[in-house]
Amino acid sequence: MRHSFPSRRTFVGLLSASLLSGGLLPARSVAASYRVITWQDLIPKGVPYGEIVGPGKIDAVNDTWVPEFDANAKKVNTALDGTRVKMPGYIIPFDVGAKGVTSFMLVPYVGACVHTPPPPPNQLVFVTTETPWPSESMWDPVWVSGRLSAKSMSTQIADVGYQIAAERIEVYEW
Amino acid sequence: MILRLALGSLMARALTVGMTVLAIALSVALFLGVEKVRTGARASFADTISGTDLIVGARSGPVQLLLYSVFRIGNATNNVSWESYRDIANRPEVKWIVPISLGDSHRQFRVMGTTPAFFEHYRYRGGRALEIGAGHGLDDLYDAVIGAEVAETLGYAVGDPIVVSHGLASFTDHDDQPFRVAGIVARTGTPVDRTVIVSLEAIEAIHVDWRSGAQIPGQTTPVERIRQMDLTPSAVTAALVGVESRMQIFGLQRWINEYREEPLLAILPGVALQELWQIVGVAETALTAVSAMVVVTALLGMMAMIFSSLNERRREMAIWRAMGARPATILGLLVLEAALMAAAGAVLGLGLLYAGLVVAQPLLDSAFGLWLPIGPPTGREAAVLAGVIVAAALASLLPALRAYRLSLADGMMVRI
Repeated sequence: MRHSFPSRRTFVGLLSASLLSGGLLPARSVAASYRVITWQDLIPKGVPYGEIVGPGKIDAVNDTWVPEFDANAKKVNTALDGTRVKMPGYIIPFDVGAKGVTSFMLVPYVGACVHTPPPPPNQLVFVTTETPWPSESMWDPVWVSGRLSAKSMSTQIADVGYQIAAERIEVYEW
Repeated sequence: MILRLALGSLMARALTVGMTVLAIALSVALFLGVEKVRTGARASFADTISGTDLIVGARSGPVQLLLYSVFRIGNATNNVSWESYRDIANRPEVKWIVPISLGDSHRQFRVMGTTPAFFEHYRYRGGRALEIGAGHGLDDLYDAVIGAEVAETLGYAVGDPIVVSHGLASFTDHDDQPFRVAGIVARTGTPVDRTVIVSLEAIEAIHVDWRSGAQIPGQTTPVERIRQMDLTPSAVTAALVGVESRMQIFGLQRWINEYREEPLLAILPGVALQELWQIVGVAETALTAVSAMVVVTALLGMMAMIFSSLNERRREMAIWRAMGARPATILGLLVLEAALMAAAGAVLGLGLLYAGLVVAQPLLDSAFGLWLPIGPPTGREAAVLAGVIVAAALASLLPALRAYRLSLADGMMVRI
């Protein structure tokens, strides 16, 4: 009966071995590494980005402006498709549950929506996450890591542009 | 050995120790209770709407629009004209749109006019659809579908007549056109439970004989004639919108916000909810701070109690020292006693919290629509309990150090 149990020493050995491997595994998968990208990288190389917003409809009397983006604003950098990326941004929550946000739009800036048009389509990343992110405030930036999918927007409008199925989300420390 | 001593010593002073434990327990229960209500309120708010991309209403504020359209708290400042509603519904980005019309009531419950699409598209708690528990949906003009709580509180069953009143609290009934309970929505834990749902046309129909806020005296259009009238509403209170692709939400939102014919407001529910938390957050922090202060007060009371007990226990300490206990043992004994008191207080507090939850759960649900789930303590709660015990041990260090220094010299001297 007594011998069926591992001795204390082997037990400790087992324990430390399991701790070590447990500690190493996630470290290795992180080491498989995300490529840190910026919002600039989402604009394809060589696309003239100076004039992305067309005149749209401007009504001086009512002081409204519905802008129209030109084709450059919809071009996505397909070279990034399938890359594991890590990028910073702000959260505009879409699906909010008791535990937090499960899908959101990652945007390069927030709070400018009143006097300028919303960010162009290729400066938006739709993010879904299995683990709800307990987002408390719109003003707190995050790092989102995961595989980026970049589908060309030249086809139809539905479900195109940039998407990330987030593997991890972290608070962005300034 | 020292544990037995500590327990025995606490037992010997059962009354004062009991009072101290009770004070700690009450403070812990209060603190955890505030935390529970806070997280419960957030959860039930966040779980109330999902799957809706935009909420459109008259221009006011995002939080206000969210509150009156989804939570039936407060009032609309204005309506959205039917033309604007049609314009939005015809946008290519719009996948579905559900109008809602508020402003009438039945007893203490609000009446909401909408279309059958509401049952199709309204989602709560991570995408769950409404389920009609008994009866059927809105088929006839005078059909009303009621929430679970309306049915329970007023004792209504399918087929019962129901008279809608004008205004949100009212002595003016639309008694010339009674409705019939067609269905009862299964309990959702959302404001739908406290809502009477009728069709948009029905809201128009009951106001046929109304002019300038009052019923024209003596004029009642027969129901048969009303049924043949064109009951297209002239305005709705708000609309829930789903888009084809979420990439288009911002564009559509801007289009609606810049709509020229009428000042409109489109909000993302999740964003408005976060704005609400930022407002409520200040009050939450204040509540948490106050309840934390109560815990601190209880621990200070315990510290005072130990200090005063040192006087009574001088002889006891001296005898222990004489019997070979080291000063460190005395210190350990006092700290252990404090930790035990705090632990007892924490456990009792947790018990009080659960007892309180069992009693308060149905009351809070019916009074405020706030459903507090009863579950095992969360990690955060466990951390709070552990924190209280550690804080108690730390607080007792002060009197214990005093005892450590004085135990021998003080006790052996005979004072007059």
